[in-house]
Amino acid sequence: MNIVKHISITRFLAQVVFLLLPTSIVVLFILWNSHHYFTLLQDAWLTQTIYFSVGMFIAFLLAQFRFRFLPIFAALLFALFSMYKLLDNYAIGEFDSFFISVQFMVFAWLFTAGWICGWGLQRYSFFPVILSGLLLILCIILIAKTGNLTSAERLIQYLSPVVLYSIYIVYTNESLRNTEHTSGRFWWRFSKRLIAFCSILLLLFGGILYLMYPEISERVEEYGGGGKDGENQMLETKKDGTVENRESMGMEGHNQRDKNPEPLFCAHIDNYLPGSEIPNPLYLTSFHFTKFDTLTETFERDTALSFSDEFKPDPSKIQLFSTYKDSSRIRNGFSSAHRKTVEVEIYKKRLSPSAFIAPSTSYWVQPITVEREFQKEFSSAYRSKSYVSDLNSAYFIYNSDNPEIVQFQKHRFDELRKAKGYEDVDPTFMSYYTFFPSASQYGKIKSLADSLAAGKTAAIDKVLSIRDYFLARNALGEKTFSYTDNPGVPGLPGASKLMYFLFESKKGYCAYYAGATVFLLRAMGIPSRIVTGFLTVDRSDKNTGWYWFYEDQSHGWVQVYFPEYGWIDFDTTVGNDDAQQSPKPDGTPPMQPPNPVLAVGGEISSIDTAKKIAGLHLHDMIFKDVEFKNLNTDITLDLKVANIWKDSLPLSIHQLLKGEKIMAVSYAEKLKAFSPEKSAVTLLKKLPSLIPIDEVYIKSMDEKVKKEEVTSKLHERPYSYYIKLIAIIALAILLILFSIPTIVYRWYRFKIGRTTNSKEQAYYIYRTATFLLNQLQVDRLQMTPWQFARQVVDLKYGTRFSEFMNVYLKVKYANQEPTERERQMITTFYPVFESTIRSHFKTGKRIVRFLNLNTFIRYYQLPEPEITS
Amino acid sequence: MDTILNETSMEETSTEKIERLILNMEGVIRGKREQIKQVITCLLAKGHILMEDNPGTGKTVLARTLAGSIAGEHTGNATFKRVQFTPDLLPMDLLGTHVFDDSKKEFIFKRGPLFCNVLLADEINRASPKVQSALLECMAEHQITMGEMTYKLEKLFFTIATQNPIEMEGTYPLPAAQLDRFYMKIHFGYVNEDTEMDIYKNYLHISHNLEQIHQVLTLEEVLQLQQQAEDIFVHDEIVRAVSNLVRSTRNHEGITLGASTRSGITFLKCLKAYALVNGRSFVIEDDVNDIAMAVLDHRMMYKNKEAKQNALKQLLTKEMDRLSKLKLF
Repeated sequence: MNIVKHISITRFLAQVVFLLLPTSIVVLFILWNSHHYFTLLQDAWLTQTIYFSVGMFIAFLLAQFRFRFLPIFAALLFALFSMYKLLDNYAIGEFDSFFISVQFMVFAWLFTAGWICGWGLQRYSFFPVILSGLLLILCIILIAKTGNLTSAERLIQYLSPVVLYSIYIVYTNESLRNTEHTSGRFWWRFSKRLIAFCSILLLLFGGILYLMYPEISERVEEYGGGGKDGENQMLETKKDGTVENRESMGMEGHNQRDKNPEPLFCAHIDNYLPGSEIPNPLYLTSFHFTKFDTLTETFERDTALSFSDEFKPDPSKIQLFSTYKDSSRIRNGFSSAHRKTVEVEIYKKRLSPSAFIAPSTSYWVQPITVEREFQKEFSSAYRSKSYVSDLNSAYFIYNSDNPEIVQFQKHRFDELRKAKGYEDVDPTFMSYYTFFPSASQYGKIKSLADSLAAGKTAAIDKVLSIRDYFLARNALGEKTFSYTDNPGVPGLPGASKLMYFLFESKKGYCAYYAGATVFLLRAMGIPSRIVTGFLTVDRSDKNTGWYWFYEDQSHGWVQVYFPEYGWIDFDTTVGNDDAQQSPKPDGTPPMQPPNPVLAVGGEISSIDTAKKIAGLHLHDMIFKDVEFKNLNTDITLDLKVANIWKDSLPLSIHQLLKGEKIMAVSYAEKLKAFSPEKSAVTLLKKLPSLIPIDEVYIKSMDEKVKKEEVTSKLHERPYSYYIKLIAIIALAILLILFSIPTIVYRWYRFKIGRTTNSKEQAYYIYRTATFLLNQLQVDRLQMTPWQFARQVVDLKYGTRFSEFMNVYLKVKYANQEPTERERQMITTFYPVFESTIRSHFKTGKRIVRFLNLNTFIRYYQLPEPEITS
Repeated sequence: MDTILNETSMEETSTEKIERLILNMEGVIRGKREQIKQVITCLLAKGHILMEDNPGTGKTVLARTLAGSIAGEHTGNATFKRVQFTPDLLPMDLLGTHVFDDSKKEFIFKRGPLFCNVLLADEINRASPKVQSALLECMAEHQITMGEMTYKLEKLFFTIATQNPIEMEGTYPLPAAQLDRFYMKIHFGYVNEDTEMDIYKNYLHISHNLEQIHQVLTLEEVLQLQQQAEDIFVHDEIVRAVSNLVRSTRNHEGITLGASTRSGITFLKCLKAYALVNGRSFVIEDDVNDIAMAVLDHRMMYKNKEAKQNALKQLLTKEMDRLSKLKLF
């Protein structure tokens, strides 16, 4: 006998819509994620999902018709194999056949995977568990492979669809298998369950994420590596979207550089090779990392260091044209030979306004204005002065062919060989900068250092030996050390990343090379530290001295101390041979504003728009870079040629108001003749009584602060604002939802009072009464309303409901008009009935039952027939 | 006996008459008000009734009580005949036969038990199909044709057939077409515990009641009531409900043979009579709910046992839900 299982089209459709479709979507998501990293997939994630889905659907359909798995699967494999053979024979050319067979392989794998999925989903109730487990594993492998997990958001973004899918598919599969489908209400019942389940799932998931987000991101930061927002290990993105160097440097196993093709800033470095016109780019330093945390293997700043030469002003907090100077930095730099002052101007684009970077050793900063036509491009600018060694240069990694540079390299090493030993250096300084962790695991570094330094006396030679160690090639002429942004982490948890890099993987980015170098140097007894900042790349000779900086130029390197010569930059990171990006272009450098002779700040005490003269109550003054503060005199400004600015908007003199705080700048030639005096009073006496002014900046510091707050708030929005908004909307929807039964009841009640037609009135009383009883969970079961009234309501609550029902049914079905007594019954029935029913239910119980949406829905639903089997 | 008849005045309403009949029957048959009502419904709808249940549940007593409650034209009681159907029963045992009258030298027709007002066809499914069909034809035509002669049955001819469950041995199931002739098929069922206790305590009294049954209605009154039942008002929506129910049985996947149009008409007739039995001059939705199963169930052929139990209930629930939510103004 041939047993044919009855195939329900409804159930089949439901399975296709609720099981296969979501599976396809999740597969689409995974393919879409992986196509970023596997070129094999060739970006055709949509087509590939279709392969998978078609395979799944066909298998599902065949399984529905009870085909046996093995013969059908064998047929599939045979079909795929013969298709492959066909392709192999007919493809023209070697390239084509390779190309097509790769595509075919992808197709075959996906189709087969889909096939198995479809078959499993149809045949086995436990299959979704296996499937979701496999998908989760796949997802985790994907995250691990790409190493792209650097923040909690990423984690959630990658994992949550698959996690949600897993729970969904298991539940849906189960309930699809368990739902009776004998009636037409299958869809309704099923979707009701599904919607309830999904909303609970989402609420739970969202709630957990919302509440636990800080913890999750903390954990991810701790174990997943990276920071909260960026992927670049050397940079961090601030809330306002600007970028700054990080304040610590670890070896995280991966480094995502080059996120944004926009340059960060441009710099004008006024430095040349000694005795020539060839520009000598310098490294721009941001932070000094002098400490090492052995536990986390992180290099850290030491802000408590008494002899620090790290100069960290905040240019955004210094008044325009004011100068801030700290000569103790030069003192702490302990250098005297071959030093000179170099001026560097930084024009910031995306670099944080508060960031300060300059060649070491910097000691002076002055925020300057950006010329009008460049203001759109550059947000702010400052000038800095650094006490720089002649021997310092960014030319340590590029071995330029230029003979003059080769000559210079040779010269600087020769010069540094003359440096004295470290015997006379302050022992505190020496012990601090040569501190080497005593942990035994670093002993191997010590022995490597000893072998490298063997036979070398001069510190510079030891430094060069480390550089040569990194650049060494093996017997086959292959480089032993290479550059990678994804060096990975050692397989053993807790193993030293530094040791892993130096002795095993030999691959890494700047943090690894700098870290290893500093360890080797300190093992050799040479005082050294890590600094971070930006490496200057000399790409153009069009604009001498102008350099452009992109995100991938954020860098970490080593500074070595030589007695008398001070700290000198050495970058031991090997070049990245795999880098295939075209060199980034230099932009048009901004026009440098003339150096102001005089800048005065104060309040306008009087203004004469006709003569274009303004009186100023002077607070502070800068004359030829000499600053005079806390002045309290009045001067007169000549504004005939002055441009007036407020927040980079030009104003006319009429808009200048009395009492406004301004900063007035003068480039006047005739003021250049005066020399800065010791006292402001004597200087002001010498200056002409009517001081010519070229530019007036109206200060709006308060507004500026406010603006910053607004922008930072705007950027905070995605994290809390939208979540709150969604929460409020969800709450409102919930509130409305739960008050629906009450609203509907009130509406029916209102309808009773509204009509005078006894037929209509009777209908609404009937509806209201049954609604009330239903909502109070007095179950009608399979009874007709009349039976219900007689057998339940009247018996239980002592009402006259059946009497009313008699009248109502008569009014409804009879061809007679109701009698006067019956009319009376209709009009007086409801209030009494309602109060009687109410008296049987406590207020709290009534409220709770009126919140129950399930009973509400049941009122409008077909009562479930009693099924006996 | 007669005193009771005399006391009833002509102004007595039909409701009171029916109530009297019911009460009278309830004196003998305890705890079966709904079944009594259904039997009276069939009587008033000019139909016949089939009762299916195990032996000893009171089917015969009910039939006897009904017959005893009605006063006949000529004799004291309405004529009540009982035929026990057996496999060897022949049609002429029912209809009657021509016998030769020696004195007149001709064949005269000797009337069978069919010529009566209330016929109890006991265990109808034990007789051969031949006998069954002979009976059912008379039920439909109200007349007997024997050779050239046609004999009219009584004006009031009401058959109460009883049947043991088909599963019992030695039974011939009634053909579907013949089942259709019965307006209703009701299940008698056992009485509940209290009633059963009551019956045991008073069985002597009850059997006495059966002997001494009062005649509460005349044959004429029954015929009048039958006429009144036809005048009961049926709302269009009730008609629609009947139509919906009947039609939906034809499309249900669990039902292989649905209800016919004739069964729809029967349904309407029964509804009217049932409303009258309940003392109403109009049909309400509850009437549909109360008798739908009894009217329709035995006309249907089901795919399986599960469908037999649920299919019609399902359709009825749906239709009743529609009616209960109907806005009629």
